[in-house]
Amino acid sequence: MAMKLIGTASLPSGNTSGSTGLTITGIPQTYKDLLIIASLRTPRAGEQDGVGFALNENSSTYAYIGIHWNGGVTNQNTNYESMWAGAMHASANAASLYNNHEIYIPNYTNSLNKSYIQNSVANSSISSNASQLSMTANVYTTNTNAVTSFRLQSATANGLTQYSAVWVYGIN
Amino acid sequence: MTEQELTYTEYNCTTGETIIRPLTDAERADYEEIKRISAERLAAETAAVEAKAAAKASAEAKLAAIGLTPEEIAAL
Repeated sequence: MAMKLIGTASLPSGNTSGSTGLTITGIPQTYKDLLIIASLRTPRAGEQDGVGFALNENSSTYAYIGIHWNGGVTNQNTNYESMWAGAMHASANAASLYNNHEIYIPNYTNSLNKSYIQNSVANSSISSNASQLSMTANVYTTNTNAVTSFRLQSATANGLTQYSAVWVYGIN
Repeated sequence: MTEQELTYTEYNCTTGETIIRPLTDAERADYEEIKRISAERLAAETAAVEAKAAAKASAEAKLAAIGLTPEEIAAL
């Protein structure tokens, strides 16, 4: 198994106004799987926000099943139809806090509906019960194209904060 | 007040180039639609949580009025 960094994008210092998302394009079709690592934060009011993940920059709905721990309550969710894919910190949390996010997309070049797993954690500086953990398996029901690009953004369209960053690795 | 320009930061793996570009009209419409739907969903979820909390408080008050202790109410 070999792993190679094939792309990265980040929001520089001060680049906060109007920054709505990080996009990776031109993904080579020469690997077996993709691994995405991200560190994200949003200026949205409140403690946390959802991460929006759009394969091929398509925000169409998809389904997921998984465990989401939110504010001391554990939920098992199924068929939540939105571009939601994990949690990130928002403005009420300490400014230094960014989420830890991993997304793994197997067989990204084939012509089947795309699926992925994601793990994310956004711990809280306010209280331990305000932290959010998420582990989900997601599947698109209408997205059979090979993955050539993706975008990470606020699932509620509230933008991303400076220093938010993403790295994508090709896996063989 | 000038409308804020929304942008995407894009990295192209093939060219190695990073650009910051404004959203197209279609992307902007999609983004605003997500924002609208999210706000509606948040308002509905908040209303549901508040209604449930109010119903719980009302039920606890009625139980207390017929003589249950706080410990007995919590044990239900």
